[in-house]
Amino acid sequence: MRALWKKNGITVLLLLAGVVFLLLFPVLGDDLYLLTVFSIALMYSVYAASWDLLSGYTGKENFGHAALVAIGAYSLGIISQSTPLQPILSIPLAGILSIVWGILIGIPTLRLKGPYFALATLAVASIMEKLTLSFSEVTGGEEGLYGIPFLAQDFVPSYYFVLLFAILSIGFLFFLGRSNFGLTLKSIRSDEDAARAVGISTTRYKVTAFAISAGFAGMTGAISGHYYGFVGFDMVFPLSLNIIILSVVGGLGGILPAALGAFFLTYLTELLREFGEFNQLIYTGILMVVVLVLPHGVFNLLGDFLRRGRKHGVTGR
Amino acid sequence: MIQSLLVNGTINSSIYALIALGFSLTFGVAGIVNLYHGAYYMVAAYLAFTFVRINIPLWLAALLSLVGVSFLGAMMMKYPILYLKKKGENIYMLIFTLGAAYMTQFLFKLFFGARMYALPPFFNQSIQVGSETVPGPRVFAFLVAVASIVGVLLFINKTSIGKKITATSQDSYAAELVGINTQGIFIITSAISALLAGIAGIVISPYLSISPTMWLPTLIKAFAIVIFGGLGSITGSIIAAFLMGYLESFIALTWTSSMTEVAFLAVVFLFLIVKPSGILGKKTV
Amino acid sequence: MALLAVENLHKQFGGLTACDHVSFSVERGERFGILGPNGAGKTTLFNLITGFIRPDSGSVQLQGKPLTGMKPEHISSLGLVRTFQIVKPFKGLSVFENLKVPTLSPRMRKRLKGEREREKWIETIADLSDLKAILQEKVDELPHGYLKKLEVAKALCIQPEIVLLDEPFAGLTSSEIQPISTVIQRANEKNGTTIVLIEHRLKEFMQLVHRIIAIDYGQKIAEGTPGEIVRNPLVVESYLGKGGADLVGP
Repeated sequence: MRALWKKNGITVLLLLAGVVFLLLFPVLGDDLYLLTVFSIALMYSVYAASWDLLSGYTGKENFGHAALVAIGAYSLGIISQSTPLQPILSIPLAGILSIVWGILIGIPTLRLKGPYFALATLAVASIMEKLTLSFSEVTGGEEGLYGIPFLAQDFVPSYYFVLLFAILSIGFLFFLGRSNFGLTLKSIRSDEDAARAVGISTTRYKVTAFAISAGFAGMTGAISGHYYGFVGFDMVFPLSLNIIILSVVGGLGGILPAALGAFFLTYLTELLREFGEFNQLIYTGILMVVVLVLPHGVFNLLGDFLRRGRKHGVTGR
Repeated sequence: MIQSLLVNGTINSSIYALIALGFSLTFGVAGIVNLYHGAYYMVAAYLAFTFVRINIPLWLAALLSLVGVSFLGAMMMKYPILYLKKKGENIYMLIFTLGAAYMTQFLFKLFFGARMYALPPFFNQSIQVGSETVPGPRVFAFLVAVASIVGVLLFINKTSIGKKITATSQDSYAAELVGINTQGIFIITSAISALLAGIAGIVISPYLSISPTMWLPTLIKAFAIVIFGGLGSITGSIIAAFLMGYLESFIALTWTSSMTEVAFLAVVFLFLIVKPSGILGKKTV
Repeated sequence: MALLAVENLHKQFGGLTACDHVSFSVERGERFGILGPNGAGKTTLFNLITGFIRPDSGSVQLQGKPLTGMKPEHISSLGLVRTFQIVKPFKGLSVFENLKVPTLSPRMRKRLKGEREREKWIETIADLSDLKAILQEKVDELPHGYLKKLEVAKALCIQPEIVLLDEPFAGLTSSEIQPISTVIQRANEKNGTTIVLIEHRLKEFMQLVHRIIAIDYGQKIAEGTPGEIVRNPLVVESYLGKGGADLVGP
């Protein structure tokens, strides 16, 4: 913690200011529209952070993160058709189910390298997507499933619920990433054989990372179901691509850059909403530019800049 | 029923083989998994459609579109892909090519809308195979696909550029040492890959629809076939394309056509887990 | 009992016999060398011993415990560690972090309790391998000589019984070799780590090792002290045709 503060003082201050702003926002004004935008942006931040823990840290590009979100969201949606589930029950349930799913899928697929793993996860997500459409009597098909209890009666408590969840989740993932566990994941990304050669059971680490990643994706899926009171096809399956864009634009391998990227890009998308069709084009355009020009992501770069700026300040340069 | 399975399966398989061949070639030669590959297929179809709409004769429209898509293939390799390859950031290569494909989709949706189009048929004489009547456009697609595959294989095995391509695929470093311009070979290979996908996109357009989302299922199938056959193995890809084509037709006939993709993907997924190196692949996974 | 006993190890790749019924044993505290021309199967031998490739037949025992069929990470956790000829630093991480990864293996988790002990141990190894001054630097910018040293230091960080070093001097100038050679000697003499070494740089190699086996075409063709090996006609024929003068010289 102290090292974090010493090296990244300005960044930490800025982040704290951001959190304080988000906490006070409902008190300062009653802009319900922005409140909703922030809520959605916060959920996307957790998606991006959870993707980053596996894909950014170990280099295993999950091209089907939506499959994990789907487990959480649809289990809530389907159960709610007969028994309305309250968030207090559904969120841990979604977490557990998606962790189990993550382990089941992770064990066979995480042995695969680069593009093979990407294809395997893409295949799983596509299969689930097709099945969701085919079994519409269970999943609601393109219409989706309604009748899910809301997070809270009002916008403001819903917002605080999401905010708290996002802060706790991203915080947890961030410190996990900085821990010895995160270090081991990074060693796997750099060279898996070298990690095995010094006694690291890489499979166990990768599967654990996938399970944790899945757990947060699933819980967030359930929360978004409660937030809208609805679970639908278009809410879940386009996420596979969107989450990759959000995380890559923010920056990989540090949790916070990916989460910040997701937050600001989602906010930007809302601002650009009036451009309608151009929206998605701008979105992918930003991705292309970032990959080519700033491959380490906008917020990784900003963090480096602030760190360097401070160093320069100290030495009086 | 078996006749129908064989006929439809063979036609579909030949198209899959054509698309997968290009995907496999780019990987085998340049070591690049190009997720933009499905987009070449779509771009060619839309280009040909646009040319036809401005009253260019069908055959010329097809030809122009193929020139265009080959050029696009060359440019994709020359600029962004080789740039990213030099930086050695593989994770960004997949993301970039996938993102570019989505961008193309959004662009086309903007220009052409979400509605579906078709090209007029190149050849409209249906043919009787046993008890099965095969419509002309399908016959044409099959013949062109087979001719293109044979043509490319001959090109690779017989011409001097083809031999340079083979040398580069075996060891690009060594190829460079003996004076082969490997960057140039990568670009030519990418143009050929795009051309093959483009041919497929054009010949299917008279009987399947042209839409801005047509690239993704095609890409997934090509990717799956190539991995199923062994990434980088051309023979493996062709065999895998036929296995998967027949499987699809079988499921469409005996069960439902809406489940063909699921079955296809499930088989590939299981295969990845059991034997990730594919039918004929080297054991590198 | 020998520390490492390799018996009848055999591996075929298609028509190529990469390792042909090779047997040898290494005693605790030894510096043991494996000699052979390029493509003789030395690296394959390391891969077979450390579990990266499975042998067709034969066995490997560490302190009498059979290792055959075990995964590389379990073998290294038992104290048999290898390095790679082409260095494999963990890119994007600092030297300190590179050395920390081995301490997170189950073997070292048992031996080092908590971050404090871990840090102290890393410093000990950094001291031994002359890396202390650059502990906080990112490995991406280090010169090759340091990466070679780091490769050895990473292996030492797991407090091994025995280290297999795959050409630790390859690609280095003579002035860069001495520091690594010193590190290897120190690890052997101070920590009692047994060393098995593959090397092409004959001069340095011969000075460093106590005992040698020579292989060619996957087969063991000779065994003995450096002095005996250089006079072995089979070895001279297979290997030293070109490099003979180099060897007999000093």
